[in-house]
Amino acid sequence: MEKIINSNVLKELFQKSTDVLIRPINIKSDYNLTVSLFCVDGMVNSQVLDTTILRPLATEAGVKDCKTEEELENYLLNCGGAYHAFGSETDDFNQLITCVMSGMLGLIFDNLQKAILFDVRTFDKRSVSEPSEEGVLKGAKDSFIEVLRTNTMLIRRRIRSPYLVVEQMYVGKLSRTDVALVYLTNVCDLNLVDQIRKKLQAIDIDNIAAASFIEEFIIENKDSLMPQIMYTQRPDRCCSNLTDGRIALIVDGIPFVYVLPCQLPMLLQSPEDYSDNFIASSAFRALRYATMLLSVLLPGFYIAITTFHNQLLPVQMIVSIQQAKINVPFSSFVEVLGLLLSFEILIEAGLRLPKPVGQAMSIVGGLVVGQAAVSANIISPVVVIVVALTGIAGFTVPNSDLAITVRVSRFVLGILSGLAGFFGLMVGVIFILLHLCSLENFGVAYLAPFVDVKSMELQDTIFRFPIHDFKFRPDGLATKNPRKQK
Amino acid sequence: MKHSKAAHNLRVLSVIFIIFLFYLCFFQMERKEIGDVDIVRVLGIDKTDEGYHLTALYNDNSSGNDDSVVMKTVDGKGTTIYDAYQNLKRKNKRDVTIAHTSFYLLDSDAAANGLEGCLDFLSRDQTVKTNSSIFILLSTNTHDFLKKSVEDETFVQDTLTAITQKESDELRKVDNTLASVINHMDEDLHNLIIPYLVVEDENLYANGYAVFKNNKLFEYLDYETSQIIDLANGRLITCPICLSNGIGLELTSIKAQKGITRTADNKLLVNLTIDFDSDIKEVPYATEVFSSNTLSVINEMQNEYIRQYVAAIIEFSIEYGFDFLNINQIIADEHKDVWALIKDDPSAYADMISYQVQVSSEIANNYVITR
Repeated sequence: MEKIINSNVLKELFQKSTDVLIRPINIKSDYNLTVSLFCVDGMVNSQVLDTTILRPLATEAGVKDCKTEEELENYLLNCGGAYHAFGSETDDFNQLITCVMSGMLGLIFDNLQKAILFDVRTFDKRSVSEPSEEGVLKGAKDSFIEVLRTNTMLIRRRIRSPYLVVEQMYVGKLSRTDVALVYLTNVCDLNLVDQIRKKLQAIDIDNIAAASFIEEFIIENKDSLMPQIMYTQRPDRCCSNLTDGRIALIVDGIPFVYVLPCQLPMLLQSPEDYSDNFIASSAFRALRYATMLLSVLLPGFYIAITTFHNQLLPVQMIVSIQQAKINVPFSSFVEVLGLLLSFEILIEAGLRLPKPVGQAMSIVGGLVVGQAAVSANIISPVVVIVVALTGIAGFTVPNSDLAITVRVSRFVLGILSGLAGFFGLMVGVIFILLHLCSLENFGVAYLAPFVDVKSMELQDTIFRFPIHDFKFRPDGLATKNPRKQK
Repeated sequence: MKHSKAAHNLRVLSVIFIIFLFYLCFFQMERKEIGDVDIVRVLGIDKTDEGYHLTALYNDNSSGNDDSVVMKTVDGKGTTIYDAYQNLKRKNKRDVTIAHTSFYLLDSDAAANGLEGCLDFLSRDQTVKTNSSIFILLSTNTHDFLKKSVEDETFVQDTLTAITQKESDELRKVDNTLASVINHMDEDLHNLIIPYLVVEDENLYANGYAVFKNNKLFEYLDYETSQIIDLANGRLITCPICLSNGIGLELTSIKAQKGITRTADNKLLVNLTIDFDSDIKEVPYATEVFSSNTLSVINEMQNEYIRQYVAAIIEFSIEYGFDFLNINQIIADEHKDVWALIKDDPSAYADMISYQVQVSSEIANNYVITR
């Protein structure tokens, strides 16, 4: 089929699609001109369409004076013929299709083989509500939603700088999903923007169905378990990162925004860190680092110490553990990994069930079954404490991608500890550290600023210094304008 | 391309090597499940005519009774401690470990036979706790004592813990740990003293120091003399004393300083300065203790009390060649010529070294709440 802008071509293309509307409109004048409306039913705001497009076509004197399609197009676009601000001309067939399929109206001029696109989009959308994951007591209560334009609006509302660029493109051969790159031209490294843009343009996938469809094409180390892209539901957090020189990536249909490049300390920051007193925030953040390590290492440590190195335990503790394990038939290794697995099953089941049922199931699973298992001497109470502590400590990790990594890592370290005690645990830890050190994200070390340490950079890592001490933007990101404040 | 293949091969080889290491670790390392081993809490060492008799007091976890702590004993005999320990291990149903043993009890015969025989095996075992305590058991053997404690369901390990706790409350530095005793044995400075325990009406208490000469038990010191040894060495934190007229005092803020100077005839003079405060705890007759005269009398009496005991210790030291004041190390370091003379000749000790003891004190508190 020939790809020219013509109502007959479009009719043939969409002949079986009942929701696509291609309707000719005769202009009542001496010159007998005809234009065609091209839109998708349900995606256009019919009231806006009637008042801003159809009414002028029927009533405007200037319209009736147009002798040719060219004059009519010029009148509608440039002489205020259409009562609509967002109109643009196109002669690109693919662009026309993409725009109309995303909810715009196309006014087709058959003889000119051109169309005017009017943005009269409307569709059901979720209202801007409180973020489900990153809620704070003392802070903004809005969050990103599934609609790209609303998300760009939320960012623009906070950064009113003319340097803020919202660069839009389509990804997905069939879905033609809107994707926007947002950055500050006077702060961020434009080479970085180029790199990300090229990666996005190189995506050759049919459809962006889920978050990982974009993530896995953008990240640099695809074999790594570590999260290499940060996401946030909070516009304020996104804006802070933009002003630091990072780049935001908004995907239509995904209710959060990606922030690039990502380093490990970012994943352990919580929005609350910046709304509370900096001493309290530092204490809580340090606690978060400690609990993350505890969550990763505790099961392996317990297995190693109870199986290989029990002479390291204080005598009272070893006697207590022995007393607790008297009638338990399993080794510590089987006990810990079995209970960790049960814990994961509980989490998975809780996610799948409706919220009220999920809570009831957590109580039944965690308390009733746990207590019954201890009473039946299937597991020892000490292991319940170890796994519960591990699980609870894991929930303090603010980023869910990192939390998943922590959950997987503790299994691996637990198995290594069961095989070779502290030697195995240390081998695992060293491998993880080596891997973390080798990771690089768009030219920035994943462990930055812990590697290549500059004292100024450490102000917002394990401890959060007062805001007035943040004089510079992160090294390697804001190449143009490194100073943040005087 | 070639480079990437080599890197890949290197990676595969590394993984195989690590798996091999894990395999070795899994089978070679001491893989012992915590519940499958009996933890020895107290190890008793007796000397018999045939050799050594070890008695281990351990937590019994095999009975399945998880409500209460059950203690059991197992014993083993052999010509040496190691032999006896192997015998003990054979006799016990499950594996036994001394990695958590906090107390070693030696009977008088074992101590008199020499500490080398008792402690050599322990000093070579890498799992033993170096801060475990060593005690000498007076007038009974450890086997009977531990066996009886199990029959009577008295928890010896708890009593010993309490004794050790009391010891560390009273002393600035505790010297009867395994590491400390082994160090003293190696240094051979003639100053090894280990607390001895007395069994009385099923009760166990520390009553002073057992003195070792050439690492063999030589003498038991009484409680007061033992305390003054600690006081003279500046180890004591507090110390109760009872004067001959019945006044009871508690000594606090005890400071003891030693200095060695050369005299004109090229001999050594040991200056021992002891300084302390005291609180009057008891005056069992109607005396006005607030008057300065009475206080100065009591003050002089307590100084004399300390002086007498220190003199007795010095006399005992010189007579039998001991170093209760821990001056041998200082002489060895600072006066090598004298040390060369007295090192192997205790009789030269008295000729070469003289002592000067200065005691000063102050009565700090003499409260009377009501009469």
